[in-house]
Amino acid sequence: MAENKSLWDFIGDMSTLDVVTLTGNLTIKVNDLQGEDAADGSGKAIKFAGIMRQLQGNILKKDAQISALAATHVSIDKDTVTFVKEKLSAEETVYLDFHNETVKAAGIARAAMAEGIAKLFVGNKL
Amino acid sequence: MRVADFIAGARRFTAERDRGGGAEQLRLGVESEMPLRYAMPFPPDVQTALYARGEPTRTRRGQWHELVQHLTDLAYLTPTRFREWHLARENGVPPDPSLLLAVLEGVDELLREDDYAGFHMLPPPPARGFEKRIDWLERYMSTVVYRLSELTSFDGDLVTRSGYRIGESTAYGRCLAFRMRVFFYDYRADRHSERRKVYFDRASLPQLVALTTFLGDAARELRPGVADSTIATDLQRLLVNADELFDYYRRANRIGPDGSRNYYLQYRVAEAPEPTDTETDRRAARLRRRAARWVRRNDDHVDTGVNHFGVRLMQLSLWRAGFYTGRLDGDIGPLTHLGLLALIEQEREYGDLGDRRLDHVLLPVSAAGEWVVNLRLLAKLLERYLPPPLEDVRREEDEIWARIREAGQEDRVDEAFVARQREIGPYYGRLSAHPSRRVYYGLRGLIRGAFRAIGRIVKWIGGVVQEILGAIFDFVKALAKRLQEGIGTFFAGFRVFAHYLLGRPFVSLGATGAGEERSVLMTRFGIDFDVVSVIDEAASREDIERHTDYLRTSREDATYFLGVIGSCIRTIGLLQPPVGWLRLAVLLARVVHQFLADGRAGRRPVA
Repeated sequence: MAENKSLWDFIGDMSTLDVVTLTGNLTIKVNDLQGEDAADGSGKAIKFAGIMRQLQGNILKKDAQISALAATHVSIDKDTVTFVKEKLSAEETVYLDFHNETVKAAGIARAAMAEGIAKLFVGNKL
Repeated sequence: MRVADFIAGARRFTAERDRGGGAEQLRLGVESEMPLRYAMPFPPDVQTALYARGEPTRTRRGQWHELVQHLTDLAYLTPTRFREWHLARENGVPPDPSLLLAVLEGVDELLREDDYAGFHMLPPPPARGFEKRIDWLERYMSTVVYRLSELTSFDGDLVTRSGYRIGESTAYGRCLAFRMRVFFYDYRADRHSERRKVYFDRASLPQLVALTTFLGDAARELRPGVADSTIATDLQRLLVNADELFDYYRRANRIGPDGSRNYYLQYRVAEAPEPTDTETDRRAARLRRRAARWVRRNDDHVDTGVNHFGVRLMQLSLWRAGFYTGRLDGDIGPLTHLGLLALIEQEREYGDLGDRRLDHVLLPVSAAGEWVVNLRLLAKLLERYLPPPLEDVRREEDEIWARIREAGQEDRVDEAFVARQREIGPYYGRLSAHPSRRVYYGLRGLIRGAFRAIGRIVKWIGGVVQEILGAIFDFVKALAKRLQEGIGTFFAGFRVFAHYLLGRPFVSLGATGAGEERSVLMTRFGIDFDVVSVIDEAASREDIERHTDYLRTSREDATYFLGVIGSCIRTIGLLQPPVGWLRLAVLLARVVHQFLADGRAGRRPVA
């Protein structure tokens, strides 16, 4: 995360991209988590704090099993290295597709937003 | 939360130290404080705005009403739909889903027909799925309404087209047909039907010829020929800019600033106000004698086409200045009469013309409700309300707020605006029963109208003034418009901003499984766009596809909104307290307005 970094650190961060996808037991109880109309799983009108509380409880359990499925590092010259968990099952390949989509999305979003972000911090050091 | 704390949060976020603390302050201000201050739900979804459940929604609903009015004027919605919309509003019930669907289809049609550069920067609206389509419209409402307001504006906001061809099926063609209805629709014949002309076409040319005839010799060379396939851009400009049109009309009738001719308009209204005391009675009698002399000395030109057109122009001017809320029909009725009285009253109190001249603008001819207007003097008054250039608007708006602050009323208007917005509601009239009445939404004109009588606004905030028509009406509408456009866009953009730059994760829930449990899919972006996703191992392919779709939509939103949200936050960080919440909204709205105007010029990057 880039909190408390200087603008120059931030620009340095922007030159590389790291995407990590983890899997594990992340189910939560439905009760008391949603507004009346949000049953579509879109993330809309969900009681966010409740989810985070439950997730923290799950993840911090001693027997929690969270494992890395894939990690991708994209450097400034677009060289890309991806680490993928060994022996992916047929079911797990869908996670890999998701991971690859996320890498793509992050790259496009970063490129598209670089101008806006620079504008936000202009005046501090630029 | 105080505005000063919010500003401090923006400073901390954009500075190097304590970015996390600043982000939290920002988020608290936007998600908790602003919705209450501005009567604008966060997130801005239709479920909250139109299906009111005690949440602050007034401002957001207002933008839906503006959308529906513009769509109706451009024939994307029928008058019946317009009536249904306002019937639901007046009954306090949400619009029927079929009505919302008609609105969505109208917007889709607009996007297909219009080549507005700003639309090309939006992600395409979803082709299917009612909820998804509504969500899209909610996010991009300000952009759509901004463009629609240009297409229906009489303030010269719309750029004319040298390449326009008569009969073309475009939004611009609809816009020209709308103007023909405004200037020529025959309400007396009561031909108000669903079968309105949608696009300007060859059959509309005689009306255009009539218009140039009304405007005299100066407009003769603009007159279209029978075989023309285009309309001269100078003539188009008259249709989209009422100030120029009015100017031509005044020159044609020698009632302009340099004209010496007295031009009177006589009318009768059923409900004439009665004198209240002896002195008023004597004064009224004196003015009646003067009016009778005017009438005797002048030729009678009763209800010619030119007069009828002139009355429409007068109504249009009164409407834009915030004094008239009736329909633009060319007939002087009680609302037009009240508008004239309200204009003169406001100018008597705050204007720069002397009482003697104001006495001669509108005179009673008889005690039986006959009146005569001196159009030359009226034009002098109305020219003070012409929408000024944007730089002047900003200066005048700043002056309004400076006077409110000097009077010690800024905190008061911050506290009371949401509730007191309701006071202007009755002045719109019952649109379900009067579907031809219109609300004026031109921002520059509204601010000029408010600027003409700042003292009255200050008194209104203090709870003293009851006369709403005129400056107060304009002030409230201008501020509501600022909130709708500025805060509406800011909220929509801040949602994605929080995901990408404040570390708020994207969270989706999977389908409900055994034991009422659901999978969680979560993705968190860092400010440097490093990404961590955590996916429940029980998530199905459909769950993952839905989450991916959610991320993709948000990315498209981010490419559109991030620049303007960045500018907004930077603007907040540069402010020097004390600044009130509403004043803050005005300043943010200016950033957004510039962003939307840049979209018109196609200067922003395409997503």
